[in-house]
Amino acid sequence: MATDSKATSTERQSRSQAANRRDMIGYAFITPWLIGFLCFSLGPVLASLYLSFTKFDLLSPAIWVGTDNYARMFLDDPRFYQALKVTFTYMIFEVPLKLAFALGIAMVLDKAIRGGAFYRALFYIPSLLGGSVAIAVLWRQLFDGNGTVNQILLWAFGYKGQSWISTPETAIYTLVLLAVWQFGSPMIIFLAGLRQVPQDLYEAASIDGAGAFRKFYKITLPMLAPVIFFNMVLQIIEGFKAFTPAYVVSGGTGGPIDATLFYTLYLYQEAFSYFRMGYASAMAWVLLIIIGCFTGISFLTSKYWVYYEDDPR
Amino acid sequence: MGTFTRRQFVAAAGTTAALGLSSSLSIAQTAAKLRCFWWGNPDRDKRTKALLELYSQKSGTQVAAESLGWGDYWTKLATQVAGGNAPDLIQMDYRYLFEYARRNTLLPLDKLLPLSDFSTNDRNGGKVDGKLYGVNLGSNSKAMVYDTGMMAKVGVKAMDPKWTWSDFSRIAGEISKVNPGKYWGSSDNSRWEQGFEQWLNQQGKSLYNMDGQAGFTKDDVAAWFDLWDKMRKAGAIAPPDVGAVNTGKVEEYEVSRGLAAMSFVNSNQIVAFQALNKNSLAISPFPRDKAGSSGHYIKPSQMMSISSKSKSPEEAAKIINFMVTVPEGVKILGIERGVPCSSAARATLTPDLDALGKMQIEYVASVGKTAVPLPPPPPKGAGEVENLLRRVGDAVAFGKTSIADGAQQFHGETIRILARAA
Repeated sequence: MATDSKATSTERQSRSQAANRRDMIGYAFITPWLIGFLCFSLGPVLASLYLSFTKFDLLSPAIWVGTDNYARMFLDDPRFYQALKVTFTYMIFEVPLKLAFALGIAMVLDKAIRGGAFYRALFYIPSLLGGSVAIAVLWRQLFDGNGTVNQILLWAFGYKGQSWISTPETAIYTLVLLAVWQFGSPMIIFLAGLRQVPQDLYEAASIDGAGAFRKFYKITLPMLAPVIFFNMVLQIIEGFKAFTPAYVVSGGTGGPIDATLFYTLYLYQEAFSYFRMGYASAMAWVLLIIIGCFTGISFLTSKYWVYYEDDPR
Repeated sequence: MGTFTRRQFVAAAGTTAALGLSSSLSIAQTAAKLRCFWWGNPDRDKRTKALLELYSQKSGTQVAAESLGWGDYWTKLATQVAGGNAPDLIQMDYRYLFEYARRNTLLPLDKLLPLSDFSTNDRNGGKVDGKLYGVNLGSNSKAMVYDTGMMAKVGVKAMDPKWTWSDFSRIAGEISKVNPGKYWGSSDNSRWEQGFEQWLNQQGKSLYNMDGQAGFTKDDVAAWFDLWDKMRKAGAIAPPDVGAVNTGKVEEYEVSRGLAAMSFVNSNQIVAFQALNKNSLAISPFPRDKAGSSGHYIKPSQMMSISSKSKSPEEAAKIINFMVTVPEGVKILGIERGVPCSSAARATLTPDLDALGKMQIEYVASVGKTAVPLPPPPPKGAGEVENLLRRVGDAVAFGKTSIADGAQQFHGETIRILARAA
C-alpha cells in the first residue's frame, strides 16, 4: 500500500516536471512579444488609468479631477450614448452576418471542389485588404451619390439612389457590409473546424436517412460549436475596436450627424481633435470593461450551448 | 480525434484577445538638422519642398519636410510638442497661435526677425501679449470661389462685389435649372463656420467676443439656418447628402467634385482649387444684406513659428526670412499661402504673376479697403464648435431637427463647450 502511493507520487512529480518544461518552452517562444508588452504596452496602459482621473491636454501638466471624467461620461454626454448606440447597432448586424457568411462559404469550400485552394485564397483577400485606408476610400466611391452602386441601380431598375454613405439612415449599414465582406479569417477557422468533424457521423446519419439540413443542424453545428464560439468572441472584440473604416469613410467626423460615430472614433476625437486625454483615457477603460463583460457573458453562457469533446457529458 | 479541448481553447482565445488589444506606436527619427512641418495641399507641398531644397543647397543645412492635411496636422503637432519632439519650424494658424505661445512652446521672434518692411497690421497679427510669435506668410480674406463658365451660362458676366443674398439665391436657383438634379448653384453653406461668421460680421456681431464667449444669440442661428433652408427648399443649393461628405478638404468641395458652381472658402485657396479644376474659377466677395458691410476682414492666412525647443533658432529664422523676403524663396512660394506682407516681396512677384495671382492680389486689396477689424482670436474649444455647426447644420438640412430646435441646440452646446474648454 505504502509503496504503491509512493510510486504514484513520483509519477505525478515527473509529469509535473514535464508540464513545467513545456510551459517554459511556451514562455520562451512568446518572450519577444512579452518584452514588447511589458515595455511598450503595460506602462501606457497603467498611465492611461491614472490619466483617466485627470484633465490633460498634452501641452500642460495633468490636473487631478477625481471621477469627473466618468461622471461626465455617464451623466452629461449625449455623444457618449450616441457612440454606444452606433457601436451596438453595428455589432448586432455585423457579428452574426459575418459568421453566417463565413460558415456558408467555408461549407462550400469544404466540399472538395476543383481549385479549392485558389478560392480559399481568393475569399481571404478582402480580409487582408479590408482594414486598409484604400478600401475605405473605395467604399466611399462605391456608395456615394454618383457611386458605382447607384449607377448600377439606375441602369438596372431606373432607381435614382441617394448617397448611401452620407445619408444618416444608411451610412452605418455600408460599414456593416464592409465588415461582413472581410469574412476571410473566421472562414479559415471554420474550414479547419469542418475538417475535424468525424465523417463517420455523417455516414451514420445518411444511413439513418437524415437529409442535408438535418445533418447540418444535428451534426455540423454541435460539432462546430467551440469554433463558432471562438469566432464569435473574436468578432465581438474586433467589433468594439472597429475604427479605420468609420474614420476614413466619414473623414474622421463620424458623420453624417454622428450616424457613424463609433465608440473608438469618438474616443479618438476626444483625445486627438479636442485634446481631452483624461476623458479619452476614461473612455478607453470603460471600453475595456464593456469588452470584458461581453467576453465574460459569452464564456458563462457557453456551457449551455458549446460542446467540447473532452466534456464528461 | 480531439478537436478542441476547453483548456487549449481558453488559452488561444486569451492570447488572441490580448494581442488584439495591445497597440504599437512608432516614433519617426530624422537625420536632418532642422525639421519643418506644415498643413497644406499637394500644390503647397510641392512649392514648400522646392523652397527647402533650394535653401539646403545654398546654405548646406539639411531641412526635413513634413506635411499633413489641416485636421491631422494639429493632432500630430500636439503629440510631437507634448513628446518633446517638436519640429523647429511650425506652421501656425491664428486660431492656435495664442494657445501655443502662452504655453511657452514657441520662441519670441522680435530679435531674430525684425520684419522691417511688414506693415504694423501684418506684424501685429502674429503677436501675443506684445511679442512676435508668428511670421505672416501671406494675407487672405474669405472669398466665394465660383465657376466662371456656369455663371456665364446664366448670364452673369462680371460679379458685382456688392451683390446681396437675394442676388445669390436667384443666381444659384438659375444655375440649378441648367442640369437639374445633377448640378446645383451653390454648396449648402449653413453647416460652415466660414459663412456663419462672415454673416454675423455683416450684422455687426461676431462669432466670439473679446472675452472668448459666444457673440451671437440663438435667434441669430435660427435666422442663419432659415436663410439656407429657403434656398434648400427652392432647390438652389445642393441637397444634404451631397454636402455631408465634405469635411473641408479642397477636393471634397462641391465645386471640385463638379456638383455646384459656388462655395465659400479663403481667397488664397483659389490656387489650390484651380489646380484641381479643369473649368476656369474666380473669386468674389460674399453676398451681403442690402445695407451694411460685406463683413470681410484681412487675416494672416498662415504663419511660421519656431519651437522654443529648437536647437538652432538662428538657422530656423533664416529659413523664415528666405520664405518671406528673399526674392528666390518668395518666387517659389508665390501667392499660394496668400498675399505676401513684405512690400519688396510683392514687388518681386508682380511682374511674373498669372491672371490667378493678379486676381488674388487685387481681391485682397479691394476687400481691404472696406474691411472690418480682425476679430479677437477664437477661444479654446473653437474647433469643437466648428464641428458642432456641421453636425447641427446637417441635422437641420436632413430635416431631423427643426430650425428652432437646431438653433437652440447649437447655441446651448456652444456655451457648454466654451465653458468646459476654458
